Amino acid sequence: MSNGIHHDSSDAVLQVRGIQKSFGSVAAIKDVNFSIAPGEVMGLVGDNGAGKSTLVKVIAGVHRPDAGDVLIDGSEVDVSNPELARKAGIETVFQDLALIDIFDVAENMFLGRELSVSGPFRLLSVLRYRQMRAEAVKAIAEMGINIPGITSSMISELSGGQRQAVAIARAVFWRSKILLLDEPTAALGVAETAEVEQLIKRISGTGRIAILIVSHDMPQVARLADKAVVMRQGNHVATLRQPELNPGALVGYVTGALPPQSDLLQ
Amino acid sequence: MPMTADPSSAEELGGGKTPAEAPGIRWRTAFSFRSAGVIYALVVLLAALTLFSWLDGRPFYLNPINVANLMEQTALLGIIAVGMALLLISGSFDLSVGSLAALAGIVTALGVNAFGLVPGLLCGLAIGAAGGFVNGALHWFVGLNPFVVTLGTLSAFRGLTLVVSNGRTAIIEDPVHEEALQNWLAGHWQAPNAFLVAGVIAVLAANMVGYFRGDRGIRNLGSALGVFLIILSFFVDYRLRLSYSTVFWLAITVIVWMGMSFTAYGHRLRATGADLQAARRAGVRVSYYKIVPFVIVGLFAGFAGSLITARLGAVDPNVFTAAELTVIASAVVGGVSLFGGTGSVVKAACGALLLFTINNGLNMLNVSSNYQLLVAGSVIIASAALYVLAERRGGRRGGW
Repeated sequence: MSNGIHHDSSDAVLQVRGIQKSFGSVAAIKDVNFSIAPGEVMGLVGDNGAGKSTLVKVIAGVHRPDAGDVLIDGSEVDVSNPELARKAGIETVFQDLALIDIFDVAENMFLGRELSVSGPFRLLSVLRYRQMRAEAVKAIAEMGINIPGITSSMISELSGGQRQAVAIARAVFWRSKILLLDEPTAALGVAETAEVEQLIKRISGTGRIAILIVSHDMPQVARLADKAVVMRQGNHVATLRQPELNPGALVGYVTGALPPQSDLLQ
Repeated sequence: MPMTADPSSAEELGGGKTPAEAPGIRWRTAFSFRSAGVIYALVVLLAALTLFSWLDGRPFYLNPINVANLMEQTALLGIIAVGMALLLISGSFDLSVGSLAALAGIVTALGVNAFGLVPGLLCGLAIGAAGGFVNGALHWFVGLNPFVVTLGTLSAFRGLTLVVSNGRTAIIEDPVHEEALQNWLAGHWQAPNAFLVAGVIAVLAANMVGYFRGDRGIRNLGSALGVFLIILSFFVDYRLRLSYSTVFWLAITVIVWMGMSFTAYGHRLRATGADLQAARRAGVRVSYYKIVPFVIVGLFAGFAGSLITARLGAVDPNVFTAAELTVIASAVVGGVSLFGGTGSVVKAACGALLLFTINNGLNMLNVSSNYQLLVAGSVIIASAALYVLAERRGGRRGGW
């Protein structure tokens, strides 16, 4: 078995060590360990209530863990709030996307990090809108995303797949090291799901970003992920790598039909 | 390849793009009913009043004296309406602006009497801003709905006004102060030819939109309109004697419009109002953009209060009663959404002008004031209904 060895791989950009989190008397996460290297895609699977979303929120800085560390490039980082997590290079695409419907693509890509003029009028933060638009269009095109009428469409006029692509592109654009995707295709149709999966593959293919995908879609995890962490009732029950990463095994560990792996590194 | 990814082509505005891919605001959107309805309504109303007044054998309705009067009547609430539009765009609401303006007017009068001219004026502005901050802090930090908070402060600020003034009109005691206040804040300015001024403003604004947003359609149309007005100014001599309050109102409208349209602050404020959670996740400091608009509308209410004190040399504690309704109505007639995110301060200012024009016109036609309230209410509902219908039929809100 190859699991375990990679937990300590020195090229890991994200390492999660011994994370525990309880809400009152309910232990949401008991002990989770994994690491992801740049260019790697990791699936995080489990049934409802297994602790996946809590874990993502801990890494994204939304929840503070009771114990355990998040390491980036081998050193511990403080992710006690979302802003710190973002500064550390962790970008999260939440299920409900967090795009502003009435803004266009460029305005969304740069929201909160707008380009504005320098010089004596810096404090007025006059927007360099044309430059933002040019950079947004360029970044979208470089990621192979096709959005007709990109410069004149509001987000509310785009399809679900296009919105998801914009949300992912925004995260990648800000040179994040780690991309957390929470159910990226849960609300999408078949064709749009395929497009988003292609986008995820293209992004991981650049080898610059570690991607963590939370998904209920086991075949999708098997298609996209290099490895997968399975959680069950707050426990980390299995780490699977390709080629044994298949939907059958994932379902087995998720449902408890297969016993937890005994050789998980603690 | 549907788009050009080369930044240099975006620099050059004449980049040969087809209209469907023209960047930024689509001019058809900007001039759609949903976007510019208030402007059309104002034009139609002024035309109708001009016609009625002509049929009635009265003087030309749009004569410079009447127009300047109309703008002076609008100015004070127009200033507050601009702040209200900002607040509504940020996703909040304020019922207390009338009370706050009255409080600021009284405090200005008492402050001038106690501490002198400049400190007194600063007191008035400070009480306005402080009142706005109280509203914002109660909403944001305590988590109360803005409607509830300001329903409370609507009474509380009026009560405070009565307490501070003892329920009596506050008078500027020193005639020197009174005169100085009038000279500074309540004077009149003989403006140059209005067509020239409007034309220059149109050209400047359109080119700012063109430069900062890279929007050729708006730039060209606005510039053409401006040049037309400037040419017209050679043939029509139309000079308005504007009250200072009118000048302040117009200047504030332009400044806030520029802030909303061209700065990161305006951008983030709009985002916060459109989707609080999304803005927060994008790293916007939403607490700032939730509280500051309350302070701004409070400051504008305070300014309106000190302007009325300056105009009359005295201020009644019951002034600006029910003003909040006119102010909110102005924003609604101007197409500002009560759900946050969308709307324009310029159109809210036009909304205020529209409401005061209706009153003015009905007065001119000798319609009784009972009917005037009925008409004003119907106009508010009708305009809101028209916007909703236009939007349901696919009309987009314009981004200006």
